[in-house]
Formats: sequence, C-alpha cells, structure tokens
Amino acid sequence: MKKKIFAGLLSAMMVVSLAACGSSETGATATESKSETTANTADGTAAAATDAQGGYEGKEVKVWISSGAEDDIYREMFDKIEGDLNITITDEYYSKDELDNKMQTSSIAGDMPDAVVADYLLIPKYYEAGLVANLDDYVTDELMDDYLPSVVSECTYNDHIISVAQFDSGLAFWANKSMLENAGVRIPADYKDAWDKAEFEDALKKLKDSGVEWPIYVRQNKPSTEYYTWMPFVASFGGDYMNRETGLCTGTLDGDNTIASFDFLAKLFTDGYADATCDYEDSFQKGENALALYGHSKYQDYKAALGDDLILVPLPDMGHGVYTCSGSTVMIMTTGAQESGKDDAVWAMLQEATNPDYIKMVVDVNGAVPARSSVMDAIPDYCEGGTLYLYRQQLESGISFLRPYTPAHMTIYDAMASVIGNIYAGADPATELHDAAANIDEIITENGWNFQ
Amino acid sequence: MRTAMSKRKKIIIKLCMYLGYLLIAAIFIGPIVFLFVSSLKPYVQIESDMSNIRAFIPYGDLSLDNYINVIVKADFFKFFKNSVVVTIIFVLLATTINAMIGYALGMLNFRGKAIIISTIVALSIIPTESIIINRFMTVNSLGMLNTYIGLAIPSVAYPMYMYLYYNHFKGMPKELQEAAIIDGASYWKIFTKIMMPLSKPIITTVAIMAFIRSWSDLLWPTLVTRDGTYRTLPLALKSLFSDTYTDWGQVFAFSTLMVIPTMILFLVFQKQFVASVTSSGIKG
Repeated sequence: MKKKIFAGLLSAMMVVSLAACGSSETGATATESKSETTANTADGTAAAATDAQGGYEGKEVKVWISSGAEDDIYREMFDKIEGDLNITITDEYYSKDELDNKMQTSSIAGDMPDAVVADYLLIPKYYEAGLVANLDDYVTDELMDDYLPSVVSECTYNDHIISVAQFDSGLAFWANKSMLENAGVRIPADYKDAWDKAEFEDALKKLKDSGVEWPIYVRQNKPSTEYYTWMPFVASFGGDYMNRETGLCTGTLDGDNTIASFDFLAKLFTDGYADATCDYEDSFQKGENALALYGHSKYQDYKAALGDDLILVPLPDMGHGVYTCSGSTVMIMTTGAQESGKDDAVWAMLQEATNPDYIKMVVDVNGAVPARSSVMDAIPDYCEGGTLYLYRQQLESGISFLRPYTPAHMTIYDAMASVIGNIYAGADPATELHDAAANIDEIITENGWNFQ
Repeated sequence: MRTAMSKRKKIIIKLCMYLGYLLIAAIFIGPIVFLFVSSLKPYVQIESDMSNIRAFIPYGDLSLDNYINVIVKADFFKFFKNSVVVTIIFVLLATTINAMIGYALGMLNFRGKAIIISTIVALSIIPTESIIINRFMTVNSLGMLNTYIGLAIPSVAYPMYMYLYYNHFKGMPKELQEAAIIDGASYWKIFTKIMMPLSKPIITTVAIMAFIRSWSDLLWPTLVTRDGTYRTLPLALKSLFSDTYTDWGQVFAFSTLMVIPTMILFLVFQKQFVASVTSSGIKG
C-alpha cells in the first residue's frame, strides 16, 4: 500500500512539474481582456492632452530602451530631464531582441512601460497589438515643421503620428578622397550629380587598376546591416523588399528588379571589388578600400583615421534614381501610460527630449543626423560645405527610402540577414530571394500582417 | 639495419601523431586564448587584430580597463550573483526531483508505469522553444515572474534527466530494496539512505548537465526577468551587442569572467564530466 502511495505521489509530482509545459487558460483570458482595453484611442489622448498642462510633477515614468551606443548619454539625459520636470524616470536598457520579447509579453505580464525608445521598425507591431498611443494631439506644429521630412515619415503610421525622434540615420558612401583622385575617379558634388551605373562600375575598375585591392567595403562582416545599407540600391534598381500596398513580399522581394540589385551585390564579390573574406570592421580605416557602404555611426572613427581625406559621396543611380535610406531610433508613449494617467508626464518627457539641447547632446555622441533642421543649422558639419552636409541635403530633398514599415519587420529582417549572408558565401540571389519571399509571406499571412 | 629503420619510422610516426595532437589541442585552446588576450586589449587594437594571428598574441597596450569597466559600469557581479542563485536552485532541484521520478519508475512496479516512461521519452523530443510561451503564461498566472523561483523551477523536470535516472535505477539490484523493506525501511528511507548514496556518478552527470543548461540559458530569462533586478549573465552579455556599436573589449572581458566558473567546475569534476558525456551521449 505504502509503495502504491509513494509511487502515486512521485507520479503526481512529475505531472505537476511537467504542467509548466501546458497552457494557462487564465493567462490567455487576461491577454484578451488587456488587448480590448488597450486599443488606440485618439479621443482619450486628446482629453488627456488637455489635462497635461503641469500636474505631472512627482509622477514615475518607466522607460524601456533598446540598448546601443547611446546608453550612457541617455542615462545622463534622463537624469537631467528628471531634474528639469521633477518626475522620476526609471530607464531600463535591453538588447533589441530582449526588448522585443518583453514588449510582446508585457500586456500578459502587466508590466508595460510608459515609454519605449527603439528602432522605428519595431513600432508597427506594437501599434497593431494596441500598445502604442497616438501622438496626433500632443505634437506641436512647431516640432513637425522643424522635423526633417524623413523623420515625419518614420514617425507616421496609419496616418497617425505615433512617435517622436531625436535623430535620423545618414547613409551615403564614405570615401577616401585621395584614392578617388589617384584613380582619376570623378567626385560627385551632390546627390543630383551622382554616378550612374556605368560610371560607378568604371570607378570601381579604375580604383582596382590603380592598386586598391578591394575598392569597396560593404560591411560584409555583418550581413544583417545590409538590409539597411542595400535598400537604396534595391530602390535604385526599381525593386523593393515588400509590396507596400499589399504588405506581402512575393513578386516584389523576388521580383526581377530586386533580384538584379542583389545580383549586382554578388558581382561585387565575384569581380574582385569587395573581399568576401573580410570579417573585420576597420577595413576602410586601414586604407584597404576607397569606398565604404556604412551609415553615420562610423563618422568619428573614420574621421580619426582619414582626417581631411574623408568625404561623403552619394550612392549611384542604378537606373531608377538616386536614393538613400533613413529611419532610426524613435520614442513612443504606450497605451499603458494613458491608462494609468501618466501620459502628461510621459509627453512632458518626450517633449523635453526633443528639445534642441538634448538632441545635440545625443548626436554629439552617436554621430546621427539631428531630426530638427534648427539643430543642424547650429552644427558646421551639417551646413553647406560641411563633411556631413550631403546627409542633410538627401534627407531634406525627400530622396530617402524607408524600409517596409510593417509589423513583420523582425521576420523580414531575420530572413534578409540570412539571405545576404548566403549571397556573400556564393549562393544564387534569385533562389535565396524566392525562398525568403515565400517563407516571409507564410508568416505574414498566418499573423494577418498583410495590409487589407 | 632493419631495426634502426623501423625505430626511425616509429619515431617519425610518433612525432606526426604528437603534431596532430598539438594541432587539435590548438584548435580547442585557440578561442580561449583569443578571448583572454583580447579582453586585455583596447577596442581599437581588438578591431585591427581581429582576423589575424596577432589576435592571439598579448602585445601592445594591455590593461585591465575592460575588466574594470565590466565590473563597475556593466555591474557584472550583480548578474553573477543572480546566475549563481538560479543555477544553485536549478541544480539542486533537478538532481533530486528527477531522481525521485527515476527511482519510482526504475525500482517500483505500479499501473501505468509503461505509459509514463513512453510519455517521458516522447516529451524529450519536444523543443523547449515550442512550449515556452505556454510555460511563460503558467509562470505568470502563478505570480512567479521576475523571481529566482520563476527563473529556476519551470525547467527542473526535464525528460532527459528523468530518463537517465530511470535507466540507472533500473540497473540497480532489486535485492537491495527487498532487504531494506524486510528490515522495515520506508520507501523514502530507501531512496534517501540507500539509493541516492549509491548513485553519485549519475547525480554528478545530471548536476553537470543541469549546471551548463542553467548557466548559459538565454531564452527563458529573457521572458521571465521583467527588469534589471534578476537578470542573469547571458542576458547582460547580450545587451553589450547592438547593430551599430559593440564594445568588443567589454564583451571579451565579460565573457572571460563568465567562463571562469565553468572552467573551475570542469577542472574539479573533469573525470565525471567525461564520464557524463560518454554515458549520456550528450555534449554540454
């Protein structure tokens, strides 16, 4: 008898322990009810905004931040804003993946932050899940008028302003002026004067012939970043990552023009213009390349290595125009902040963070393009003749192309990281893109992320 | 003449073998040397040495700055404490609870035993990732999010450990148990006083496997920790990476400090570790 009881107890213990594998009805119900109450409510926002004049002092604001090069300066900034506004800010820093996981589970766990600082591409998914508040009734005309057009675009989703930003990204070729001159390559004065496809190919050949073993560096050591840096080439070939009308990839990501752009990327390696085995970051600084397809974040390092030889050159026109890619970190208010009556404090914090002083404080560290024209006016690098003026010119002229603004961003991002990695390793771009498009669309359709 | 020739041949063969051993050893030791040496170098030097032989050579501007940054700025010991607490709870529970289940299944006879064993075997092929959201919701409804218990307990009952214990107890002589029953011992006493002391090798095997699993777990803590209070080492290490900027000096210093306990454990339990790999057929 004792034996049976003991065996029964042990079996029961096992079942209880394994119960963690099962689903929880309570949790699921909680999620549903939470989703219902966190729908985006523009009316509620308007009402809250009216009350938001003062009255936030002493409130506690929880901010989740996607960690990066700005962590230290954000800590300093939030400390200062705490003092400015007399509120308490709890700023927590997570890697992009961890932040994404936490956001997706925050409504279940009941610990949604009041504000989030993250890549703008992560935001649509949270918006569709009812986690992001509309800011239409908060943002001022003064701020919107001062913003770069590209920043307005990245902050707008479904015709609503859902975020604010301190800076945007800058993308063009970093170039070694002496190398271009030695090779007899024409240096375009601005984006309207960019190389066409034939001239770009000729420039690469001339550079190679002049003794530059690998004329171009495309950050082949980190294929995931090519999703951003290759976007202007895809656009200039007439392609795209996604059909912006349907929200699906098949026929676009694996369309003829997009395939042609990635064939061109593969050709850079097979023709010996880029080193497929380059697994290090400082190839351009070392003088191994004349051109580097890298964003603004390398400015300080490149400037230190090349000095006055460092210039920006617009990306070439591959047949369908000259483009750059934009979009960077944004700040959002969550619907949780509205529900808990902290929206006034959160908005005050966001407004303070987008003040010129704080924008300048951050861009001085990360080298990004200030989101406001008035801030750029005060920085010589962004004024005519400045090293970074091309960034400003491109973003103000509206030639920037945003990566697909979709809840499926992480799915496309992961798929493209592996597609590009495989292309570097010699895979056929058409096959890779066909497979990726089919796989991505399956996930998009399953989740209902396609645009109806 | 022939003897001298064959002696020479033997020496050459031996020499080639030792060279082969050295090469294999270098392949295994290389990454650890790279890790340690790079942790002492400044960021700029790490970047320029990254893909050549200099990455393995301690030269240039060597210092402990990266370690100081990791300990002071990245708050290494806070995360270290969390990892230690979670791992201790996990290892203790994984070795005892699974042993209880293994003992019941291996030594006792009761109805439904065969079904339970088949279920355990079947469960072992289900990847953790596929049930992690359900597990998260269970832990949430039990109010265990953002706690040491929530981090450690849900993965304690692990089919592989149960099966290892089951196989071990199944092979033990039944006479031991029968003699103890005749002497009036309860099953609890038999389990704790006779069976467990005779199961040290399998306990060590499970403990080592559980240690490695818990110490390096990334996915579960990502979901369960909800702020900085209970974050573990793998999470803290992951947050040192970003798309635009990675301070490799800090990454290498952090990784070196994180690897040290595993290496100490390996050196202390080297024999048992090798035995566990061969007996379970699983690498850590």
